Amino acid sequence: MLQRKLGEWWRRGAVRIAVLTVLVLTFAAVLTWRVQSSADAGKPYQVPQDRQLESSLGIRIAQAAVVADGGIVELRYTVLDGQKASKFQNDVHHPPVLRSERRKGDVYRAALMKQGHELRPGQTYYILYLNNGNAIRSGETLEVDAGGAKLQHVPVR
Amino acid sequence: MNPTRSPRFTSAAPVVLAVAIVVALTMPMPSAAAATTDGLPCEANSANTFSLDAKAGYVSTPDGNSIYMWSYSSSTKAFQLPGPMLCVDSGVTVTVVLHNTLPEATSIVFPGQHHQRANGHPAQPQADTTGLTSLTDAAAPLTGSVTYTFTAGSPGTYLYESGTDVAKQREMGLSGALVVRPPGQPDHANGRADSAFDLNREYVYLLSEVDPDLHLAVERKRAFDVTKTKARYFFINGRSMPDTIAPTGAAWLPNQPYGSLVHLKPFVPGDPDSRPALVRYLNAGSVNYPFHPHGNDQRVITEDGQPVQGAGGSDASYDKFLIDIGPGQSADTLDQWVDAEHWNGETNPIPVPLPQLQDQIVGPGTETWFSENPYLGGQPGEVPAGVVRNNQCGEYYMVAHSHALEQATNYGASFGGMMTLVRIDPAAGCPS
Repeated sequence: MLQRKLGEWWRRGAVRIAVLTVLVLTFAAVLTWRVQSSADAGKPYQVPQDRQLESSLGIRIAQAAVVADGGIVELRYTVLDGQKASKFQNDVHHPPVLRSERRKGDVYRAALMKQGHELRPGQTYYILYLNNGNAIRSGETLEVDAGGAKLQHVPVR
Repeated sequence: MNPTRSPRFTSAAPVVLAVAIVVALTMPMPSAAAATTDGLPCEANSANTFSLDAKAGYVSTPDGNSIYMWSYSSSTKAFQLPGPMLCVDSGVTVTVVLHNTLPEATSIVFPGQHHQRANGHPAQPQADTTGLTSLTDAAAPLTGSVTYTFTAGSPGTYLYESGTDVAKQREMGLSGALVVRPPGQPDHANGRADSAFDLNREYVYLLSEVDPDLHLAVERKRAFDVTKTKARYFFINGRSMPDTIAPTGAAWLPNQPYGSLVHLKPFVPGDPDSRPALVRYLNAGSVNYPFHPHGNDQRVITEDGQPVQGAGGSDASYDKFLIDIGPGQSADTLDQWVDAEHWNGETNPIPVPLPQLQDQIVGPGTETWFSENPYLGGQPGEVPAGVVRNNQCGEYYMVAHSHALEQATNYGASFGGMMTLVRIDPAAGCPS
């Protein structure tokens, strides 16, 4: 009798301990993720570089930012090669596509803004996108898909 | 372990942990905060006393340039352009203590304010044997200071700016906005009842320009003929497009804190909770800036701190689609967008026909600005190649820019410069 009660108590306790362990681990993981996100917010802004994208398009991605109170995403790029960059900018049929790396299916592009006839090497230009369905958010990362090349993990300001 | 507390602990702990996980997940992310432009970022205090440093610093332009500037900054804060937006009530005594850290004498004049004094005596123009040296008492280079006092003038928007070597120091950036409110009525632009506005929709457009060659010469202590300046950058609140639509306090513009995106909801006539926005224009430059908000007139209600009214206080305000602000002038305008046609995304969508090709090409180059997204959603029309129609939540954008198109460029590259957007949300708002 006593042995059965003890066995039952032990089984119930084991389940409780298992549930508690899972919850504690989940809590720790969530807390770590949030603290890490906060720390990332204070880090110097740095955009990854991709040699293939830069050599094929003649540009270097300089910044992605959510502006206009969340409604517009700005993609800023610095011209490395004026001729290639002009071709890139004039290819209105295939502007870069921005994809959120946080949630699936958020592929979008929108208002395109072109500047000037000839792009000067060393100068920075920009494209504005409508933020389709609030897809891109500050503090997250996105992928730039342009001219067959991809640049991942671009932090969004 | 206490055996009598163990069961209670083990039954309560999962609930506590689950709540903690939910709280941790739903805590707002620091990086997502401060993303809106609601309300005017005023510097104000009950003593109406401000301590400003005239100091040097750098601003960035969207094309990647960095420009040496002079500006006024709160003594407890870092360099910023333009100077802080000072907000006071009409009729109060205001004290501004200027600390000069620049390599030459400088000062502040307060056009439109009364009983101006400097270090306790009436503020006076200064002269030496060569002639006029300053429009008011100046602080000596590097360490000098002057205490200015004045009685705030009639409600409206005013510049405060350098009165010393004006052509050079104004160009270098020594200016800021002084907002004078009717006492007890912060939500009115002037003393008139019909000047009421939404305090969360109040904006300053401080317009100015920069010739980077002059700034480089000053930085390198070289001579420069200020009569030969050629402006290359054009600012709203110290920023050029697209920085103008970045949030106020954007991390990537640490020295240029003020955005200029106007963010509206449709105005509902007769609804006491529906009020227009107020846009305060100021010209801190040397030429006119013919500013043009597309698609919607703005109503000019105050000019240079005086309500636009006729004899006996009759309303003489007027609608304008081009607010032409002269150097040193100001104008306060009410901005309201009325959904007069009762647009509905399903039953009455805003028509968005594809413009002729030539209408999609603006300016001397091949620039385009065409978003082709129907307000309130609904079925999109035909769109040009490279453009889709999806937006955040059915909101609508109108461009607002200087109609002197060279002023809407970043060193000649259009579009940029003195340009921003007016954003109109659906009546139900826009979930973030």
